[in-house]
Amino acid sequence: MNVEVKKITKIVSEMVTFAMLGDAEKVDVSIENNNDMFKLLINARNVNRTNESVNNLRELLNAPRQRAAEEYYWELAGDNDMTTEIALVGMMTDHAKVIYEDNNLLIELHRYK
Amino acid sequence: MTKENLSSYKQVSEKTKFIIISIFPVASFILAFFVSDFNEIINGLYKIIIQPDVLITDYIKVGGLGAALMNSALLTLINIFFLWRLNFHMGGFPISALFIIAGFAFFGKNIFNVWPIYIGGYLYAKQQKKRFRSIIVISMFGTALSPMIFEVARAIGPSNHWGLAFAILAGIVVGFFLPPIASHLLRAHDGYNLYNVGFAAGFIGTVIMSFMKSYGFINEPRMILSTEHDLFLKVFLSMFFILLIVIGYFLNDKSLFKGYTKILNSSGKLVTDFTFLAGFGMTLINMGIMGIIGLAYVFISKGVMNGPIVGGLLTIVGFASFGKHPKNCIPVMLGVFIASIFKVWGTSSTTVIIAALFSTSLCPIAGEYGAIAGIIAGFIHLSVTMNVGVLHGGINLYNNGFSTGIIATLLVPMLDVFKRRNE
Repeated sequence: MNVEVKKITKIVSEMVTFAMLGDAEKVDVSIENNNDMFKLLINARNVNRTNESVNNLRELLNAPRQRAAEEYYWELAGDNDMTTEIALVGMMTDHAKVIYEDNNLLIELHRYK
Repeated sequence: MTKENLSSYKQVSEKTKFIIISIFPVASFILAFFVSDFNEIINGLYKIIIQPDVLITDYIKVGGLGAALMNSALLTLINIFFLWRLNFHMGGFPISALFIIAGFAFFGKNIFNVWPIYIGGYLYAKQQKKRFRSIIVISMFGTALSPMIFEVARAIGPSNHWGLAFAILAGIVVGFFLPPIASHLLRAHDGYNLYNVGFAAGFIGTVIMSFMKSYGFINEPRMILSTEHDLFLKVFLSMFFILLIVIGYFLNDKSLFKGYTKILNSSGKLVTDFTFLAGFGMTLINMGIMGIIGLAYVFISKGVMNGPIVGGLLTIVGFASFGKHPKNCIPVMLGVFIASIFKVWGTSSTTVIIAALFSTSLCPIAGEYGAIAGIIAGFIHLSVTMNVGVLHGGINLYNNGFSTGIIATLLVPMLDVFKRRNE
């Protein structure tokens, strides 16, 4: 399988797992494959996560893009660990936005090609 | 669109980071001229280059202290220059690679034998249509297999130019395939072995050595260790570790512990970059503290400082930016220490001390599953690391990484059984 596709699915898996661990009632995933980037939207309804864990998620996802670390470690992404795999997703993305209001979680990630 | 900076710690410019990381090699460079004259250094470097490099070959003994310091300084500074030219972000990943280079340049990596691995990595990047920037750090780690160059040349014929050419070609081939192999093997232990390239290099080295032996090659393990510079090395490294803490203190808003909880609460499992998690200043403090803990272990074990022990200490310091901290390392080291009392090897022997220092590659096990699991991992590690070297004949400098990879691969699913039950 194309490595880039694998990376995208691992990133999505990581985010969906985060939402599902909060007993999400419904999770919608949108993946846009544009010319210059992948745009990922994860929209989860009725997620039961603490503000602290969401803030932690936001901070980790905002880790600067690190192509060298990604090249080596990307296969570790996808298991959901609050401090390692999510930080790795951060290193694999160029823009991250996390909104958590009324138990609804919206995660937007951009990954430039 | 770029990312927001949500961190609360003080930001440090990349230039400042590069300058700080250059302190050790620059100090080594200067000290080389204090302990040896120019001719001694040049002759020593020549001896280092022409001797076999398999485990354990202490360059301080082979070429003299000045030459060993110079070898480490040059190799580290060249790599820092590469990273600078490639506009690298100086995070935990490159820092750990630079310190492992600096450390192993005291036993096994020299200014001649590492380059085929880099060329292989460069060709891999070209073949994959990637920039070398995303491969270079793996190549830096991959120099674990540098002793292979001399051994392959020796197998074909030490006085034969074709033998050397073939050995360099073999090094390039290994450097080419190492990145995908190392990346693939991460899945075996799930990021619980920090020296993953050592794990990969162990497999590669085993295949290469087995192949050579099947044609009649006689592998000659070495045990060349220096004892003459114990005090000098202890003082030099102590000063460096204290300096890291002092610089870190000033970069961490004049605080020794601001943000340390974040580091201490992390498991250390790959990928944990402390420079991002707690800031560059706090990371330097942790690096200094881990260096002192490593040095304390050497003192407690009544060990004599030499090249391999310096290598072990510098590796701990480097990875203290990328997963290692006192809470997850001490249990593993304790496990090795207990093992050394009850097993057939002496507590103060260099091989046991470096086993303890490098055992901290298993620190994520203690970080994730607790101190008892860490002690067990360390206890097992001493037995395994003392016995796997024969497989690759010492051409994998990260023999301990090979051992810790095997242990993590076996222990993690076993520990998970109990963890899942408790969940």
